[in-house]
Amino acid sequence: MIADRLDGVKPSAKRPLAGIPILVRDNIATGDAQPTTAGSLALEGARARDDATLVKLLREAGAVILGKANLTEFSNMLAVDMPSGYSSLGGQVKNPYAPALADDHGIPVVSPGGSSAGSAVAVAAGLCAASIGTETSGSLLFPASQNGLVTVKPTVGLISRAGIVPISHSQDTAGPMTRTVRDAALLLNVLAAKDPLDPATQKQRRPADYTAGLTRDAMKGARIGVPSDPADPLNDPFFRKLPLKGAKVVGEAIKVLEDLGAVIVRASIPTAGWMSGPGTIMAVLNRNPLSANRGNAVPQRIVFIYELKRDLNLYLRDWATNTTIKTMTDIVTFNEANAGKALRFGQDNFLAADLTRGDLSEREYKAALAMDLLSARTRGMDAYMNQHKLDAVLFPGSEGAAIAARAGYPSVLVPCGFVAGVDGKDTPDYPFGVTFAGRAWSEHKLLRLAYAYEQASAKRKPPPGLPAL
Amino acid sequence: MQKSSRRNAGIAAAAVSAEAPISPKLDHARLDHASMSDIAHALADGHVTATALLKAYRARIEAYDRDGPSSMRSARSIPTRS
Repeated sequence: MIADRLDGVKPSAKRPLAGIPILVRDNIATGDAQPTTAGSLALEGARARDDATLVKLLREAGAVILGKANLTEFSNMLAVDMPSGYSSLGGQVKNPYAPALADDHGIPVVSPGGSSAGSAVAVAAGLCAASIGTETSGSLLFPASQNGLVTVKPTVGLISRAGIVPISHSQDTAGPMTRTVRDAALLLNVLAAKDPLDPATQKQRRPADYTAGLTRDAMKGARIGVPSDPADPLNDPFFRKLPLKGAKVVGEAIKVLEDLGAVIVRASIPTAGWMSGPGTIMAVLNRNPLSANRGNAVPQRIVFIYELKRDLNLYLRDWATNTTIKTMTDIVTFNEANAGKALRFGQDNFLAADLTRGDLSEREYKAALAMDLLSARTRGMDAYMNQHKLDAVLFPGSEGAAIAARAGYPSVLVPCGFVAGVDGKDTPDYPFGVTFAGRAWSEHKLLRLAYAYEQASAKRKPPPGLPAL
Repeated sequence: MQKSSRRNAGIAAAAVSAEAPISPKLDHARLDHASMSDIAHALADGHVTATALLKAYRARIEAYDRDGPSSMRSARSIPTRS
């Protein structure tokens, strides 16, 4: 009985999270009685043979795994245009800043963000002390931005992926979702560890303590790239998409950084426009009955479509138990047989992935992976940061997620204010954040910069309307 | 780490105060706002017990997350006994 085991439990240097209730996303395996489902009806009641490595680390540090957080089903890799935070098993996650506002289909007007929607909402609404989410491209940063949270999307390989229902071993990573930068640093202290079960962790570099050097003056002299060229606003793939209020709060954030002594370098990233360029995307027919774009071929990432089948099959073989599902094809078959409940938004990406060989032998895959790394890493983040001698790159909201995630590089997001309105519709105010992205293994530097900004700006406010009980 | 100045002393004081536990005030009203490190301080100082904390978060999940038209559906918590 958990309550008995918790009597007298207190944090200590050896067990810094002792007694602290933490939620983990429902694609992170727990070896206890709790199911691990990725939000899929096909995996209802499925369990895991063991705790994921990151869950073992949390438990060793004393954390109480409070439960599992809902997510966009299969990390938003099942369907085209699935609403963020929807899963056939868990239902629709709502943004706590506007939980009652939905369209005719029950889809939230103010997105909770995704795919780590539940992990973010639960922290924002005070349903846990902190949570763990996962990201392949934007799935920590987007919900953190929409819910006024701090997150770290770490370098791929900083946190072991062993025991996480995957999309793509090239880009998948877990990360903390917290109410402060210091909390994120404390969780990285526990989570960043080499793991023989995840080869990507072997190259990792980390400091002894991510909370060391969190000071208010870390921004002094820091060179921050702002990928925007005021002289050429149309060639500005990041800022031109921002709603008016978003541009305003990001502008205010940049002013705070300048006041803190940062050197703002405004310059475009030459390869930003390549992110969904030729050779990296394939056409998938959108048969989602609720999509405004249904009936059209939509571009999807080649690397994800191919890696999904191989990586998901490995998870199901090595980790899943208490289920008859053995392969990705079994999931597709189950969903078709239970379409009424399982396929509200279709499964177009799974259908596309199911057509691949599943062993990553296709040339199309290898070429796309090479192109992603060239455009995002070598000639993307590396070239941009070297040319301008940058310490970090600032992006509004989660707009920079694609390039950093493809490169496998880290991002830290911090709340920077509130915005309102979605597609011309009035909404209550909801949060918005800024991303600090950087080079491989630079999480400590990014956390220090984010801390200085957070302390100077203090923009987080909990959602109204959820009083103490 | 240059000359110890008033400014540095100020920064140090601010850092300490940022670190200082809010534990005397940590009650259920603060669970949506308190940082994890404040909660850790409160646990370490005995101002809240791990059992009470677990119970409080479970109550918030049940109240705001599970049922009703604007329930947030963000999480399911472990059963009371497991």
